[in-house]
Amino acid sequence: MNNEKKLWLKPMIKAHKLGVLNKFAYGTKKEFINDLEGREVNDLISEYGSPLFVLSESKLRQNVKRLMSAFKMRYPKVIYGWSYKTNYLSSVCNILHQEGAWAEVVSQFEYEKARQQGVPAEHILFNGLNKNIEILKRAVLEGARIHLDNLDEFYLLDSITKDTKKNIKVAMRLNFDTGFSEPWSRFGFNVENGQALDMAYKIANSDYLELSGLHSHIGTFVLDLRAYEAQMKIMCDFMHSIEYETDCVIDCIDIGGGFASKNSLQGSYLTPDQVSPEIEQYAQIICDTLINETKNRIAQGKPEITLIIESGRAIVDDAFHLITSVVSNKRLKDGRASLVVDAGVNILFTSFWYNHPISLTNSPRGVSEDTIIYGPLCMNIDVVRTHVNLPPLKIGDSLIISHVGAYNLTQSMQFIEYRPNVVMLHEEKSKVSLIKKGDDLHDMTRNEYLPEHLMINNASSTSSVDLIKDHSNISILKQSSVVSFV
Amino acid sequence: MDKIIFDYKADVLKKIKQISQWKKQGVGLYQLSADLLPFKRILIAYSTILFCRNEKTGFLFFMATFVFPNAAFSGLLAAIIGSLTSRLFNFPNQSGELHIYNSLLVGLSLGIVYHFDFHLLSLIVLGFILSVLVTVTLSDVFWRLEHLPVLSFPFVIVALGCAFAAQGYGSLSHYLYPLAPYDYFINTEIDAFLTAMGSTFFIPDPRAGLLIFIGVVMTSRYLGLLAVCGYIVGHSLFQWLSGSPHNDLFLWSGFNFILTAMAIGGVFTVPGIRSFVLAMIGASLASLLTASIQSMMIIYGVPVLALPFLLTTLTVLMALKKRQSFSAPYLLLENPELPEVNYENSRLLSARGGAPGSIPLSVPFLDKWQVYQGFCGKYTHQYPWQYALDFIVVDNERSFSNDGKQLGDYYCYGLPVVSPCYGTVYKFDDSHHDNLPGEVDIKNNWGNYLLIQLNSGHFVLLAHLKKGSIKVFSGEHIVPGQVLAQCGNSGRSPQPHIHMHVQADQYLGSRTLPFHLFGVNCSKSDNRSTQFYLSIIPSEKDTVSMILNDSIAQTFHLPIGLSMNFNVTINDQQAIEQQLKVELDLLGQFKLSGKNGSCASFVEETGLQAFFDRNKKEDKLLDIWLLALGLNPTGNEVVNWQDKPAASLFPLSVKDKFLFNVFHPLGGGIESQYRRIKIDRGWLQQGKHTLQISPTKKKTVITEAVLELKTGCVSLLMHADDVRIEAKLIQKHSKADFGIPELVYHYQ
Repeated sequence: MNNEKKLWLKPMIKAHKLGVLNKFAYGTKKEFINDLEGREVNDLISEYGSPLFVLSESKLRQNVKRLMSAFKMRYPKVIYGWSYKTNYLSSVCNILHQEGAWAEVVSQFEYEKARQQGVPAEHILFNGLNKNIEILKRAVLEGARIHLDNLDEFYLLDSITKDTKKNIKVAMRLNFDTGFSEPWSRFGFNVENGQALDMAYKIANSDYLELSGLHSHIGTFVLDLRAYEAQMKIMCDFMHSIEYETDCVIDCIDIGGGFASKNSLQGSYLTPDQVSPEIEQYAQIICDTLINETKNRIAQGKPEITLIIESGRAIVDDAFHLITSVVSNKRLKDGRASLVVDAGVNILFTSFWYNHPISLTNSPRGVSEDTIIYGPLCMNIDVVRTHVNLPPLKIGDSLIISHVGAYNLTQSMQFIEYRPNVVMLHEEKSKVSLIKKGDDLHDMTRNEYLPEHLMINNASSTSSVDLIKDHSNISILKQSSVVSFV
Repeated sequence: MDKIIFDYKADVLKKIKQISQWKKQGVGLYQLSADLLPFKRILIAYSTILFCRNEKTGFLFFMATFVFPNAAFSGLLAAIIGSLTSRLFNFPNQSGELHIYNSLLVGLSLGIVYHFDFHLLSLIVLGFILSVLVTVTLSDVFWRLEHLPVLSFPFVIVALGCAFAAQGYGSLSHYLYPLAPYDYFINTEIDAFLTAMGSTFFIPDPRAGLLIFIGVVMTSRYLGLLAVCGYIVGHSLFQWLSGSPHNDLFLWSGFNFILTAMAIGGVFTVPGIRSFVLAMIGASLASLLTASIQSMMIIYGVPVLALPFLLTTLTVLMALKKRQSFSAPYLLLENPELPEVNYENSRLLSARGGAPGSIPLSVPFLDKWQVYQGFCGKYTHQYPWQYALDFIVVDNERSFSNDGKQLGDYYCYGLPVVSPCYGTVYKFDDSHHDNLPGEVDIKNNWGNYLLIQLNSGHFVLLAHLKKGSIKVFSGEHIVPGQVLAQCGNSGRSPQPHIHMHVQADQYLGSRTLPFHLFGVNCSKSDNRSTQFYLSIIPSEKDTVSMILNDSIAQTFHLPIGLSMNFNVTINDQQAIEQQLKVELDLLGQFKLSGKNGSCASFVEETGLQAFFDRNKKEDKLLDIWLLALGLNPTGNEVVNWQDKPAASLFPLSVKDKFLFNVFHPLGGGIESQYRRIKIDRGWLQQGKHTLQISPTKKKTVITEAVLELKTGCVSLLMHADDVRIEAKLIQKHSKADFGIPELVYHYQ
């Protein structure tokens, strides 16, 4: 006899819908995934807890190899810079560096992290709006590739190079309207109004700076290939004109990233398979345009252009899964079904704009219905998914949310909940390792200092005793933070 | 486009050509040897008669002529007058002092027949001057004709002329007594051989012959071997046909077999089994010609001289030159050397640059593709189209995604096809449609194609391109890596692929020629690890990827005037400071030189630095450098590669050296496997070198070199069972020049 307790569903009245197929022929979810690359989901949960981020090493390697070969088969000189902000877990970065990726960083922290990972400075592309004097100086001395974003940064860099008497090659970031994507005019120098040309002159007239690269980033999740064609044309035209005007020699063009992953944008009418171009399609249009636009360079005695790509999302998004468990079931007052799961927008920031693929981990029982998935936060906006067709689930049942590799870990918040463990499924089967431990109380409080007069005499926590001992002489409250609010 | 290919072989050939051009014109070498003492040049001329070209051997030969002083003085006088004549009228100084040696031979030949007096003197002087003029003229004519060496042809013409003239001059009737064979020296057979040897210098005396033979063996054991074998073959045949030993004729003409065997088997071809056989055939032919020419000449009462040798050698060489395809024996008309040197050069060249005659090409694609059909492939690569390669892109053992029913499903469809060479677009056609997968168009077999003419005159065909994808025009000069078209599926092509072959003429579908891929990474289908190959003919299912130059190139770069001081420790003894210097010689050859005049040449090309031509002077540090850093590919992603450096670099005990020489009379190569690993400071380049000393004995040494990005090599290490040598960089400095101060960089 089957001893398993049957699922009890609260009696309810539900309007019948004729037929269960929608126009995409998606019926009731029947399929489920109870293992990730051969590891049982339940085993993973029992060992590492829930929620749990799971990285697939093989998928990540496969993605980056595919991207690099898609470009390298179409253009000889290609550099791929891993965009640290997308996901700077050390394991992720090192897998990509092992596959030959450089590092694309946008802040002091990211620069320092890349150096800590062992990336040679000359393999770091230093972008971003906020490069302070300290880190800029380090980047100059170590020989990183600096991409100028604004005029003030130029003056700062100019003064640093004058102090250090070091000649450096720089790239400048451009912004322009491709006609097919939203112009991001807040980054870099505008091409249309002459700001960029002006900047090229300024660099040409500076003592130690030499303009050798152009960079632009036309957007994120760009679905229209024509945008890249236009981008490449505009950048090459600009390159030809500044080479003519200022006698500089450009040797690399950085086209940023923005390639779409196979996630589904909220409000998107078609499925990702139908709208998101394949990596090869991006590569084809970009490389073709570049080859056509630069075909006379060798004859003109100019260096061949190195193409730099900084795609982040398309590489890492589908290499991560998030395993989450059902905390409670709730029927909303309008009759809709809803679930509360233990992963919310604190660790799944991208659920604000994506409809991630969500999979069951057990065979579905009962009738599927439109369900809202809420996260565990005490916030109204903590909605993981507004509409998904799910069968009734028990408390403790788990779900797999896929394509969560980009931005979620780096943008996760230390809000209300402890952040979860991150594990990696090794390429060699059956090997799993913890690559980031989840937060605990110590992590949450270790940067805090408690002024003496705020101490509670019978503090029970040993860690806070340590804290007091260590910093008993500190009188200034460096970080104001409330330890607990009950 | 980056020049991703470099053509080591073509470069070496070009250099050799250039040098021989200079030699021919007397430029360069004239200046080089201007500082040689005239007597030294005369000694070299003596040695050149037996292809040895060094003054010590020349001195031995010179001494040998004094067995018969009349001839010796006449010869010496001839040499001096020849040398003076060429100086006086500023004739180009031929390589090997050709004109001196020809007039020297005239002198010797007259000196052996006529008594040395004032009458003879006038004839001699005129003869010598004439022989210089004939040499200068003929050597140029021969070179233009077939790049043939003039050898002693001028001597034969002048000597015959003089002999006829002498018959008409009564004043020259002071004939010497015919030389009686020296009675008994060692034994009859050996005496006969040594006499033949001596008669090269017109001294038919076994004592002189012995001295000469010693000189030859000292310079080159292989030449000595050829001399003996050539003599035995020629002599036996002669005796067999004539029925009786014909001492008189032998006395004067036996050297013809010897010289023919030496020239054909060791000097003008690369030593090997085929060239040895040919040398022996040459010796037999020379013996036939000796008899026939003798029969003709006897009517006029003149000797055969070196005519059989000249006719046989020149005929054989010219005939070899007429071959359409390259095969053994390989001719070395442009830069003949001693057989050992010839062998070493050709061994290294074929180890690094592929088979002789094979045309080096780069890959016609970017990144990594797989060989769909190799040479002599089972589908269509059969005679006369057997030398062809087809490439496709494969992922997970499939060439397409989805169901493969659309052309667009194929990974390689529409990918760029790039130029595999420098050349000119000869003609093209891109008007044919692309077949659906599985279909073929046999009317237009090659489909859309691009025919490129190489600078060597050969043609490269790239076929089955995508309709309308060709981006170049006829007559356009193209460079390796330049995008030419897109991969398609036109013509006889059931799935999209690139077909590449080399053909001799411009007609579509004409006979294909052998070629190889140059400087690529290749992983063999049966072996997962990727290895860098300077030259490779990949077989079916091998994965080939192109190499781009990397920042490591600047690490290896050795600029002119650089010197590096190393602290060298041998087996934990006291460290000794030693220096390596980079020099550039007059002919434009970069050299790395150590102590005692030791040096090795090197070339730096896009993608590679390679050392070769180590001279004989001893220097341990230089040897370790050459073992550890003898061949350095500077492309990215190059991790493993092989080389076969000269065995002389290997540290061997005296006993092992002897054993090795016994089993490898011509020298040989070390099997070196290299590996480069990225380390904190830069790179670690490890080499494992194995030398087969005898069929049963093998030795292995390990070398390690640490390279830092900006400094270059900072430490070298070599260890074997019994020896461990370590060298650490102390300082680098660049030589000062007028206006440029010396720069010194202390390491650590």
